[in-house]
Amino acid sequence: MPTHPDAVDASSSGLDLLVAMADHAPADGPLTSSRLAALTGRDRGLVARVVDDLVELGLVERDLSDRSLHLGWGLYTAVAQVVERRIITRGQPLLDQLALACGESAYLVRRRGGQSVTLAEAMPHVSVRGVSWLGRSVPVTRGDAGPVLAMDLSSAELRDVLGPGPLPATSGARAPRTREAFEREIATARANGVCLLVEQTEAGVASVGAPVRDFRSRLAGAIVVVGPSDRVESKSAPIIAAVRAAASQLSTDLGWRT
Amino acid sequence: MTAYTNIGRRLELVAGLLDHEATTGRGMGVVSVAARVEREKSQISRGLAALANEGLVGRDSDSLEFSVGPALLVLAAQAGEPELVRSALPVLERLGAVTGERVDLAVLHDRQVLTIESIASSSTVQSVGWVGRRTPVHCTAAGRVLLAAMPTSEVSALVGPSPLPPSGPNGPRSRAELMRRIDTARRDGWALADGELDGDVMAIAAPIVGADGGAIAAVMVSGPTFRMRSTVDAVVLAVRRAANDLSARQDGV
Repeated sequence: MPTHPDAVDASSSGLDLLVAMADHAPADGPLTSSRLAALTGRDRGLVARVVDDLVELGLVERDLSDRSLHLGWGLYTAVAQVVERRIITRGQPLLDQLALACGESAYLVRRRGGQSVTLAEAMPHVSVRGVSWLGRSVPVTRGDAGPVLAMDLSSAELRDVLGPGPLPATSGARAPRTREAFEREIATARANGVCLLVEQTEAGVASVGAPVRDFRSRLAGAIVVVGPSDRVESKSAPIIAAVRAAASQLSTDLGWRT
Repeated sequence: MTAYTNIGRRLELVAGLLDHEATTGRGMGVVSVAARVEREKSQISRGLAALANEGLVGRDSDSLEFSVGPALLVLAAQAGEPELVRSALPVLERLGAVTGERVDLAVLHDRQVLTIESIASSSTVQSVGWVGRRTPVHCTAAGRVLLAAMPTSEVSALVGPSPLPPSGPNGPRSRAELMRRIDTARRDGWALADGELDGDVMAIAAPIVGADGGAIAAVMVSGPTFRMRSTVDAVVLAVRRAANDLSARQDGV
């Protein structure tokens, strides 16, 4: 009995075709369906029909002029939307767990221009605890994960973001007062992949922050645990480990790969 | 109805999950997926299991709902022109800081204007609903500059005959009127749309021009007309500078 051409791919999802399209460099010339068939070792007729399906589903796009195939803006923007939702939906449960495990307040923050904005938060059930910061913003130099949020900026970009003049003052005895001092904090955060700020953002307060990245390797925000200096310092090692783990889990959920 | 190939039928499930999670932020149970693609639940379960195996679909261990899988996120990192967005981001950010208004990067996609990056103005926290937003090409500032870079024959084919689809109070009604506005944008190298899409929104856009002279994307600043009206000249300058800056980078790559 002659087999239907589709029968051979019954167990396959077509991931190989999508990967071949993602890996194809423009310099290699236009990617046609017959080229795609050759690259994946699949039947030309089948690939041509699958490609029509994928274009109709919006997963793949065909160039109007040379009819070459590529993963297009439709897929990119849909995934960007997914990630923008997930940072909250997947971030919140991680913050809840983190606050419980550390016994301190946990926040998800993001840089917007020169500000650090709080996107989500979780409070532990203890008497001394943080106040709600949801939706509020502070200058990034005073943010609990400030150096982490600025870690992808070049010096020129940092200058643009911070603007001229001295940094805004804080009540913290060890607060960075100049851009150079803040840049040293950033360098430390880059080297460690995490920041531990003691008596910087506010007198009596310490924080541990780690970066969250997305499918584009873009810095999507930071997860940070904040509490009284003495308490955070006395358990800094487990807090650092927990913050790192939460940030790494959220990054994975957003499609980041090391 | 189209008869999909077996692979097409599998990936229809992925496209459905992607669209659902992008718009609602939530995953889907097997029953919802089956309803969406109008197929048997048993068939869907097998398909989703195979997709989960490949990483194209993920499954929440508590809710048992299916969602977009890690392999698709990895693929999306190569979709579109990642380098364009990456290089534009700091420039768009600076433009947002200078103007204090929303900044969008947009491309022509499926006869519409598609926002591929968006920097919020000072009052909003998230950019949900902006990236991935599709607006008509004939009544937006971004659409105007993207059309201005195309030959007139292509513009005609793209926008279709008069009367044009409904738009805001000041949107062009006829093709002739649109062509006049496109000519102005072509001559000036930028475009202003005041109340063309929404009654009280003003937008100013300029094109990012590629090495071959075509428009790759548009940089656009938009805000409430009452606020923008007093700053038009400064915004036009800032938008053009940002777009020129990004155009200059297209030659070297």
